[in-house]
Amino acid sequence: MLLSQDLPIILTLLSAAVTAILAGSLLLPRGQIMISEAASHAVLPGLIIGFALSGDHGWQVLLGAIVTIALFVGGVSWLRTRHRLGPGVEIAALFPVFFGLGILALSLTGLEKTGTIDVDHILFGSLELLFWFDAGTWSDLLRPATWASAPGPMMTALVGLALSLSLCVIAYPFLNRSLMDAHHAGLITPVAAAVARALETLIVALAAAACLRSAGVVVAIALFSGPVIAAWSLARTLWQVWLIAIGVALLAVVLTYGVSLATAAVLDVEPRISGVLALWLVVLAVFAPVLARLTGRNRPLP
Amino acid sequence: MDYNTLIVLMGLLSTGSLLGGFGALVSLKGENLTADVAGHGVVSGVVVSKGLLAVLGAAWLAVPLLWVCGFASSALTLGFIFWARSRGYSAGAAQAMAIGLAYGLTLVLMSLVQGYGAFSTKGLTTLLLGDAATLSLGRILPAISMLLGAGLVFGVFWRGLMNWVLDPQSTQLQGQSSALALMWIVATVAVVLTCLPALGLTLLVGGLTLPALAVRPWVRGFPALVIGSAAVGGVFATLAGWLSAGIVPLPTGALVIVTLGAVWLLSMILARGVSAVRMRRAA
Repeated sequence: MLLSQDLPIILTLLSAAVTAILAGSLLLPRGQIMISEAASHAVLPGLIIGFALSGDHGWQVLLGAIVTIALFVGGVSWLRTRHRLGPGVEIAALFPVFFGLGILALSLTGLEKTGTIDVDHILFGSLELLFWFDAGTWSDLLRPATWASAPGPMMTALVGLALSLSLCVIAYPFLNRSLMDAHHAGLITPVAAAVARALETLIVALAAAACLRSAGVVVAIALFSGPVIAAWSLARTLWQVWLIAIGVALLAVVLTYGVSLATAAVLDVEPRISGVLALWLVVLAVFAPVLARLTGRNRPLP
Repeated sequence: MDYNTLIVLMGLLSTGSLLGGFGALVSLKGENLTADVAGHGVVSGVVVSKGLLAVLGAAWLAVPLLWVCGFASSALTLGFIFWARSRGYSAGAAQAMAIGLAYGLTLVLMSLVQGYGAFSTKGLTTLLLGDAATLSLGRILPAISMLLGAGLVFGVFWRGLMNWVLDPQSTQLQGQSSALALMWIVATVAVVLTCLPALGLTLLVGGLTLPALAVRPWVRGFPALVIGSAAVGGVFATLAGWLSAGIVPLPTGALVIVTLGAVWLLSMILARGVSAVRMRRAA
């Protein structure tokens, strides 16, 4: 039970959370965290078209997600610099159009009727449906055949995490300076800025796709923002932000499991895991700055 | 045209106009994402109202409960944003936490309410994505009444509204800031609740934002922007609804927003073209 049912849920949720933390840490210091909320909706047409072309949840779906998010983030940046519509107006204008296109694509391809892509799962996640039947004992995890039959959303989340982590580690010195030192951002060359923008787009796309396939669109914003907001007041470097945020996400997952089990035992009702997780992440984001002040840290809030 | 189609088109006309006109004010204040978050705050109230309805079993209470609970939950969500901002969080961080809170609360409450069999995720999907095809006269009456009321208020108080939207500091100096902020919250929640059945929550912010952006390059002055946005929102929402009803059988809410997006794109390209021609002539 633990390995076949709980392990895939925990692994998927944690991988999606860490991928979202990496992306959130790039967006929050620039005051663009709401892009993550918008991007997790805007990614829909890319996923649908990728699935319609390939017929499975493979790399084409991920590629579709990356292309769509690149278009979305590029469009937001272009509108922000060229048109100056107002704070957040460009995000509010673009993401419903992308999401609407996704809904139209879902209808045009007829995928919703086949049940292969369910809007409910896209919106609210499908963590409760993850089962890893071949993982019966710990030794099974060492067999390649067990991993071959691993649930698709879990593998997407793990691959997304590996890619995001690799990109962030490679670009760490640049990211750390440009994000943690506001003056440095004004000194970087246009080429470096373009590379940073491409990197950010790729990492946001990976995180949006991972969240969409696991916890669902609606709680993606909590995964992107909660742990990073909590970590911000306690950390001084980007590494510390990541480590503390991962710790916060781990704590939130443990608390989520505890509350879910307790509620099921007391009320005989199982609350939706993604919902409980979102609430814990917000609670931790609110209380972390209080803890920071108590321990004498005075970093400004994000 | 049959009766049902007529009702759906009337619903879309009133919803599109209301969102377009109100959206012009929201866009000028730069509060589009806050309005989006307030809209998300409504959903947990809707879930609570369904639960209460299942417990009380009084069908006539459905609409009053929906409005009371929706108002309460949305106002609490907005209150959370203002509280977070007052504690020093940035606007983005406050909005992100509020939307996470609203979503989390909705999903948890929904699980609990589902225990009574009063609500399903399908019900919530309809809330999030809208279902214009199921509009009835009873469901569009609030939008029509609200549109008429808003038109009347705008006709009488447009100068005061313009001052408040474009120069908030002047209202602060007159000591009317808190009262107007409260009225703003009430109006935002009322518009969101009224327009939910047709467009759904996720697409609603598009209806608030896109008409004003499409109209902006072509008008001068505050009243022209608001009236023009209302007209564009109403006309193109109706057009998309008409297309969806017979010619292209696609989800109405999504088609409305994509149509408005196309109108915005076209308007932007035309405005650029006109501007380039004027520059050339001037040179």
